[in-house]
Amino acid sequence: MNKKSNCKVNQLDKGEELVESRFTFRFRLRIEFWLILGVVVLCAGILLWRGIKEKTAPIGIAVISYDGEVQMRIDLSSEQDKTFTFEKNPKVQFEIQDHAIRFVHVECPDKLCEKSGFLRVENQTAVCLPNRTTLTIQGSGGEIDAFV
Amino acid sequence: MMKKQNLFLGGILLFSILLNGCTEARQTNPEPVVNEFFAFSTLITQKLYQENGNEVIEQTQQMLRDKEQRLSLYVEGSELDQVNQMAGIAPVQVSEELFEMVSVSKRYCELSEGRFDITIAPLSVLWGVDSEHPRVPEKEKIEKALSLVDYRKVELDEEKQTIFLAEKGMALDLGGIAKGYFCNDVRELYEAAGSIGWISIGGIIYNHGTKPDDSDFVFGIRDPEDPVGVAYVGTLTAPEKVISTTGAYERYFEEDGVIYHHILDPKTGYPSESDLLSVTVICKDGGLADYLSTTLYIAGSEAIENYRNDPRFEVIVIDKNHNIYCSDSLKGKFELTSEDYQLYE
Repeated sequence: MNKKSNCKVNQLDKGEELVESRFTFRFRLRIEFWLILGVVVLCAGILLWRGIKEKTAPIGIAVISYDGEVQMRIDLSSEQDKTFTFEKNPKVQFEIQDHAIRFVHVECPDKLCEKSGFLRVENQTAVCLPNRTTLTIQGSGGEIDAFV
Repeated sequence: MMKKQNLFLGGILLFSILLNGCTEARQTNPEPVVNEFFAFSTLITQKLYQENGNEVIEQTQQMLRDKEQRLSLYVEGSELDQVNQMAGIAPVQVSEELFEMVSVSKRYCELSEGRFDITIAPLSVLWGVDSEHPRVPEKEKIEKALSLVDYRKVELDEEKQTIFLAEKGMALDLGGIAKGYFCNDVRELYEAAGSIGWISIGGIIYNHGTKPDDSDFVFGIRDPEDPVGVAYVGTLTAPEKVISTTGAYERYFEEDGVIYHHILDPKTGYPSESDLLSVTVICKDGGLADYLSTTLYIAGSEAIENYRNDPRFEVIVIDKNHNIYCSDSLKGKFELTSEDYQLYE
């Protein structure tokens, strides 16, 4: 009797264990599913962010050089609109407007630098040869490496 | 079942590692080294992608500054200045480099039938378009200077390595070839150093190697009618070649409402009245590219068809009707991007 009842108990225990293990397996499966989904979404997000970042990063750093030496680096994405000169050559004036920069009111004979207009795209360059001053938009990429 | 899960999880892990690995690979690419300096009355820019980029840039700068001291028309006491000072007096023994440059240039003068002339210096100095004080000279002065322009009066003695300008007042100006010619020297230096990058000497570009992502360098051909000078008509890839563009928009000055540009016609003494807006020549030989872009610009659209498909070089010519004439071999290398211009088939 005892043996029989023990056997029943054992069978019941096994059944419960089976139910429990199925439940645990399903639960683990669900966790893994969400975990995998999370990783996939995260990776896709990183790739998407990188792609967007690369495509929408045209506002670069304006670099002003005098006689080949860098005088100023200006982050056009955050700089306020203003007009200014630099210490080594006050004959050359620049203007920043709407995240773009240009030569303005320059003391030189041909004024070609002023005619270059506003620069905002990476790798664009304007030069004032008489004043040996260059204005370049530097950046991490850009479609064009240089202009000719 | 578990094996499948493990396989899937392993895949995700591998994907993440690869994703991270790509980031690492991109980060280890050397940052480009950019350098600018002024020589030969123009801006010289270099951009190199390599660990010792600064060393190569320094060597190139030194080499070009040295050439300026020896070969510039505007440097007092330079070798070229000595030849000019002795015009009509006596031959001057010069370095092998200057002798070769003048020999090659004289040959180009002959080929162009005088549209390109290295004895144009009296005119270019008179107009001063490249100087700080450009001006429109009096007609008589132009005629007088023009009478001194004649490449046939440049006497070269190969054995003694001497140059003699037969008439007093004559002077050599190598500005129409020098920038491209020096690109050949830069090529040798970049090749020896295994450099990856490009140099622009007053707008003439030489590019070497491919970018860190294995793609070719891409250059924008300027829109010659864009008043701001930063728009471009199309893009060009030309690995290991020199790209030389000539256009009136590069240097000019305005007097009494008239624009006078820097490309002087040796036959008239005045800025060339070309019917072209710009000429780009793509060639292995920088000197040839520099000479041809100027000469074809002066020659105008009539001459273009004869040069369009020459196997030694490629051309992109833009006329005043906004037609673009390209060498057939540039298909796939030049891409028109501007809607204001059309390719002429």
